[in-house]
Amino acid sequence: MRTLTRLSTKAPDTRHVDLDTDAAAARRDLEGRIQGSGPVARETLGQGGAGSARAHESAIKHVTGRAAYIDDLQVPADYLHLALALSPVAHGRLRRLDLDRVRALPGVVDAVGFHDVPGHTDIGPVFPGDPLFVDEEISYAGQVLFAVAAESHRAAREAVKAAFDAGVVEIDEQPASLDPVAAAERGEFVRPTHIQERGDWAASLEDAALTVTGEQFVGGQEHFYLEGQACLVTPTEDEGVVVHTSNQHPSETQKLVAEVLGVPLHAVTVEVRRMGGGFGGKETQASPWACVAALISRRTGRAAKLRLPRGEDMRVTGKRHPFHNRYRLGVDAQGVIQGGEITVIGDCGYSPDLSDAIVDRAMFHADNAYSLGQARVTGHRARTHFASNTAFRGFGGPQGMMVIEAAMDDIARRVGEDPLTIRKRNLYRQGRDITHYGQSVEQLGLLHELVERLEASSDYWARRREIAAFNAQSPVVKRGLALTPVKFGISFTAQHLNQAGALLHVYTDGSVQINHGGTEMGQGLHTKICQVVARELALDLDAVRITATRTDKVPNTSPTAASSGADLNGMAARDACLTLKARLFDFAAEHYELDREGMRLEDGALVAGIGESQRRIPWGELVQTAYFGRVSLSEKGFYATRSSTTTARPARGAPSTTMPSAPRWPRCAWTP
Amino acid sequence: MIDFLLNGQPRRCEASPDTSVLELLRDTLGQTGTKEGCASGDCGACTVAIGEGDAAGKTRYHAANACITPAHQLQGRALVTVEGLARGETLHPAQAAMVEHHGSQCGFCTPGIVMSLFTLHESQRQEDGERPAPLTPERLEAALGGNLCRCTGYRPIRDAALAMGDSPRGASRVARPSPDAAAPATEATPEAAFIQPTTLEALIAERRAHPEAPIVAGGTDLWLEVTQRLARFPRVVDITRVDELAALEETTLEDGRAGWWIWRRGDVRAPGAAVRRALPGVRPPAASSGLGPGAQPRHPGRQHRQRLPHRRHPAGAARPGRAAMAGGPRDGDGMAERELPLDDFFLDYKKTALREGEVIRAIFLPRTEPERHLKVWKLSKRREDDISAVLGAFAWRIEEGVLRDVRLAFGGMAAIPATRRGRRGDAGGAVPQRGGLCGGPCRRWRRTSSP
Repeated sequence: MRTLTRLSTKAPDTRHVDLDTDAAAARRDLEGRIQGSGPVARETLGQGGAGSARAHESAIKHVTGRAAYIDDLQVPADYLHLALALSPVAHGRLRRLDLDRVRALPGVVDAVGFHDVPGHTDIGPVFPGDPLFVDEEISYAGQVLFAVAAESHRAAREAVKAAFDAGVVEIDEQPASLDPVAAAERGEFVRPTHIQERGDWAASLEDAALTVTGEQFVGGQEHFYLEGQACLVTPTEDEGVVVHTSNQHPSETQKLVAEVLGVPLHAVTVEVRRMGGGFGGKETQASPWACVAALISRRTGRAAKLRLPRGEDMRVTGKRHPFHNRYRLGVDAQGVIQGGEITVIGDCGYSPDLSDAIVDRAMFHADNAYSLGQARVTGHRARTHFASNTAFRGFGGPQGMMVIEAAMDDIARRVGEDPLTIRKRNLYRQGRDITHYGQSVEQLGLLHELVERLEASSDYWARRREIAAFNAQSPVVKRGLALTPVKFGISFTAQHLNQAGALLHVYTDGSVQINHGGTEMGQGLHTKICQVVARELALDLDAVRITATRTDKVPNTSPTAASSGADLNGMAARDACLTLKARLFDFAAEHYELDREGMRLEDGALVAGIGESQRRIPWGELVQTAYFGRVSLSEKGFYATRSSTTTARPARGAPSTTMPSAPRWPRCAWTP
Repeated sequence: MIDFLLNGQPRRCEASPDTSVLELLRDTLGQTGTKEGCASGDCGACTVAIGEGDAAGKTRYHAANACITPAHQLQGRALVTVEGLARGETLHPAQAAMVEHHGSQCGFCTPGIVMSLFTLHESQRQEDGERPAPLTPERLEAALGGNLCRCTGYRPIRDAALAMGDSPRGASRVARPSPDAAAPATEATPEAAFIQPTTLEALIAERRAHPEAPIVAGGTDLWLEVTQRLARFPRVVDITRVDELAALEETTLEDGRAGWWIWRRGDVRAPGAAVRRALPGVRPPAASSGLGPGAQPRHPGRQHRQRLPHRRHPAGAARPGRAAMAGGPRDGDGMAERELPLDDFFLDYKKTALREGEVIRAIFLPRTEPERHLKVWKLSKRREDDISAVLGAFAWRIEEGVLRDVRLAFGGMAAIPATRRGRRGDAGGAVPQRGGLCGGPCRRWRRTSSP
């Protein structure tokens, strides 16, 4: 498929890149933001450390070992350790499972399997398909057969080993389906195929001067969060539990634990102080362990801890989706894509998990930052006997971008131009600004501007010449160079998730506590939220503290994912601050007989009036006075994104096809 | 009973022989700052510093993976963990630099990274005094190669390491009484014992009395049986304190070959450099920056596995040389020694020519003659601290433009290291060509051998 052609290393005539008319404005805007004089920078720099680099809120705790992760938490003396028994085969039928014999093994306090679940046995996060334990059908090597509780971590693991040795499990192994392409050909999908289509793609292929075709495999990836999956569950005096978990989506875990136990959601509280890394691997796949531990905890009335040893963690949890991608594109003599078709096949593993949205996102990014012209993009969700592949940084986006970037290189070889030249010619531009899913791409000038700046600042063409000279001299070791743009959609494609809540408390000494729905996994979200609050209340960053994310403080939260944590939760925190601020201003205007107009918070004080008549009331005094004035010092905040105007277009020609809505991101980030 | 110093405080703990330092810290002592990331010695989240008193009475630290270090090896040593670095609110320079340069994100690998940086900082200060020389990239990589971080991409950690040297010494010093080097070895009971012989004679006596007891040095292989396969070892023999095994001796064999008898690293910084000069294709682990393991598994005692382990994994390197064994099952014949060419040492997967009651005394590493070439390459998924998927060693001599004495060795290809001598008709005698070193013989190799 790949034809190697000598590439031109001559800098192309740049005149063919007709910069959009707003490029100059975009450049000025960008300069301003970078140098701190632009509207965004002006707005954010200043009080509370917002807009400036601050140490992570836990940095000192990290470096002194005081930051506690799940396995470090104080536990009741009689807590139980859990271990999982995993399927040794990828596909088969569980013929017999003798849990009574497991319970009789030395050191075993309790053992649970499918038939011990009082409530829901399916814990699929969006669509059903993820049994908490195997009932009959075994769908992947590593699927959980049963769980054992014992007095120590080692005793629990030894009991699982002893149980297998004692032959409590009998399995009829069956042939496993491990090839997603073959699975797709057989029509074995976890969800129906989606198609995105614009224009007469078939005609554009026929009419094109050149056709490029190719096929690629994009591999999977283990999350390797340094802190493995872990949770600690304690029973409450009611029918519920408190769950400490390393988890990107506490609200979902709350729901699933409640459903598994068969209790209302209000009986379950989930707390996440921090994760030792998440990367998407703890968005849906931290819940099963909480459900198992909750089950044991309720059955025994004791606290239960389940932390997966690394080897088991890697076996039971899903990874980044591997993708098989194909493309057939028609291009003109200049290498500009006229249209064509792209097919992506995501290897979803055995169940839907989040695969529907992930394959959609791969489709949404199959254009990366280039216009596909009249194109059809097809996305299959192949079912295989692997662990259910799941969210992972980029959420399918990178796998989708790979296909068009490979095509760019192919086109460059065919046309005999440098790949950067071809990439620039294909960038979205005016007149070619509608994506294959019908969204109009904005901020076109910024895209061209950024690529050109990078081209210049990286000294691309000099490097290209140097590398070409090196490669001419070196028969075996070769060097390469690429400059690729990235267009990435921020926020959830499932519209209802684009909401966030926050809870703000001001205590009578003036110290501030903020809670919000986002979780901290190292990305610095809590630091940012503290900065937002400190800025809004004109306080030092030290005056604001964040505590753990808890479902009983901010309910019904969205996962911390989709690059949206800071935007959504930051706005919710700000909303709470603004409401509380307004209340304090109203109180101060009346109590101190000040002019409400122009009242503001500045450097730790309420300031009213100007010049001679200016009054400053220190924050602590204001808070105290407001408390004695019976003014609430607590406030909740809420934020939801504005709706996008994009509408879904009907699909054509595919019988089992549904058309997903386009991603509705509040803004597009162009990240070269 | 283990007597040691934990962050300067004397501690006495009871632990079974197969307890790791990490278990001792987290489960027995409730010190949870040290994290378990992989329990295999790969990720470095559990890195601690272990100090030994040297002849001058100074404490020298090395970084160790607590998850695979036997707790009993702490006997008479000073253990420093991440909890023990700061004095009150004053952070150690390694910690301060990590905060200052945003070196932590999720923070889970951070304690291990801080301890690797602490060890680097301490050793720098011991060597260079008050004004340490700027860190070389090689030294930095060697110090941090055993630590994985998934969040930062390492640049901020590297920035922290480079800035750490600028911190003035002083307030940051940890109160650390020197460990008692003469502390008695752990007491043995009939049921459970962690035996730490200090002489070869005592080691051999132990081997004869308890041939079933596994030998441990760095634990990089043996301890995985504990952490991954839940094995129990009621009796373990630790060879890291046998004086005779700490030597590195330059010598000439009877057949006239010059080289080194080498065992564990001991204090081989200087000889290591000599070996490096004489064997340009081999990087002795003490000086390695690219091919060898990270700092934690490379500390004294851990060379055992890299060199010639008793429980040998076939993927490691086999270098031309000889093995010397001592001991044997006979009674009363204290130090019966024998030698073998290395080729004859490996019999099958994890099976060697060692007889019951025997231990490896040393291996001989021949000096490369000036006209001889040696290249060693390793393929692995990770540059530092990873078992090689394939390791290739290539030795040859060129005589009037013709290859002579070609010797190839590959690890990871079969149950034992595969070697090939350059006989006539093999690679020897071929004319080296650009793009294909030896033509026909290599093609035959390709046909007959694949990993």
